[in-house]
Amino acid sequence: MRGMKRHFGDAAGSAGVVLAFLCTVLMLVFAQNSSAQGEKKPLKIAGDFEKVHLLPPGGPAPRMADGHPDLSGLWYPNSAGRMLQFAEPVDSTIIRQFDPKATPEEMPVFKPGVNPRKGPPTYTPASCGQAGVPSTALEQISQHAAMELVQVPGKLVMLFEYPMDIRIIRTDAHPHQNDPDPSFNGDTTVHWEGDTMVLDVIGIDERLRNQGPFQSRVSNPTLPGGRPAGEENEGGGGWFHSAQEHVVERLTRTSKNYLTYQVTIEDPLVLAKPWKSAPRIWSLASDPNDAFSEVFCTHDEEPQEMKKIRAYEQQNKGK
Amino acid sequence: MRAKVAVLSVILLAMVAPAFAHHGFQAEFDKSKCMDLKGTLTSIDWDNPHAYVHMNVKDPSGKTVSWSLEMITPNALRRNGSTRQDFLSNMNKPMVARACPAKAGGTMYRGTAEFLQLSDGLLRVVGQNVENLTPEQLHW
Repeated sequence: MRGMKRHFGDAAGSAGVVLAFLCTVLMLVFAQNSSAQGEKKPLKIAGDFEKVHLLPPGGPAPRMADGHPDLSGLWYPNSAGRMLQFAEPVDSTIIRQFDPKATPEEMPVFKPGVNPRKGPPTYTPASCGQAGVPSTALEQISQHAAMELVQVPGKLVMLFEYPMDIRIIRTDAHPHQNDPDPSFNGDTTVHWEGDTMVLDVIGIDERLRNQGPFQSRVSNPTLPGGRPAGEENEGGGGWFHSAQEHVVERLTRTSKNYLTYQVTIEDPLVLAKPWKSAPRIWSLASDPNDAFSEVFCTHDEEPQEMKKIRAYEQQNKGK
Repeated sequence: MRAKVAVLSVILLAMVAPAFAHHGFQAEFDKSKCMDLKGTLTSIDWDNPHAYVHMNVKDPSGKTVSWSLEMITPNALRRNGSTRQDFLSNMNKPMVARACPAKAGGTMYRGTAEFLQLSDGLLRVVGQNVENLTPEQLHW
């Protein structure tokens, strides 16, 4: 490939010209056939969305040599085994990560007198920033993006596409660091409860805002977990946490094709009671050619655009 | 790998999870001014967090302007059946996009594409269907 640029245009080269010529010829042939039939054909849609189906369990979860389930795989936050961003038509039972009626996600309950809706300048995927633990895992559904798990003796590696993130977690029995340096992914210890890998996390940077229940991002207060009236501009169900936050993640590979991720957040300074996510369903990528993708924010036009738009709106307020 | 095709007779918008928009669609783009843009594909930016498609379009006065349309990430485009090679093989040929422009104050001729059709005729999902359109409602 000529150069390593990301912009492709007139300099695409002679190969492009040949392909364009062939495409034109094929199109002319196709068009002749179409007009001969004398009726408008329905538009064909790329993406194979009509083939999306509920992935079957696929048999038991594979196991490591020590007998614990092997969580390794490329996982999508749905029941389809593939990315479904803006895919349609897709049945809601396949595209969602949990049934909001069967396992609703409650809103957080804050201690009286505490307002954790506002906090320090924060990092979010909205500004191509990191989301940390556990928001990165909870956020993937917004993009329908992939999580790759690589489990080897003594380690679990978790990779997320959006935002691009990596956690390398020691899985042998070891204690938390004493007063760990704050980090976006925290300090994690691991133990097994039956076939569930339990990740205990402390020391998460206080600049990170917890995403909170997913439905609260929908501005319809009548939906389960939707924002109550008056809270529309409060940033949804998300909140800022204290240095005493304690996060417990539970990973269970229920079958070859399915993984459940559930997280509980405790915070004695902020939350009146622990907040529990719904068990979020992940399905194994079913296309052997599908691979974890690099997603580095290298061309973000939005901060500049938003600055211009906001400046304009400020100047024209009340006009 | 060529994008595979599907003939669609009925569309149901069954989106349960609103897809991620960095600052919220409404903060940046004007949903009330979405339009069909017909022109020529001139280049693409295959980059993150958004790929961009650029097209030359004749404005009502006959002047040719260059539109820059934001799309979803390359990994999402690829998994939605639209590869970089698909765009390259349709370069400098006619294309149509259903797009919504930037809000007032934003860059002129900048917008976000919901659907587009390159010269190969496939309908491609490249962004959020904020208008809840069905293929039949696209006047292409």
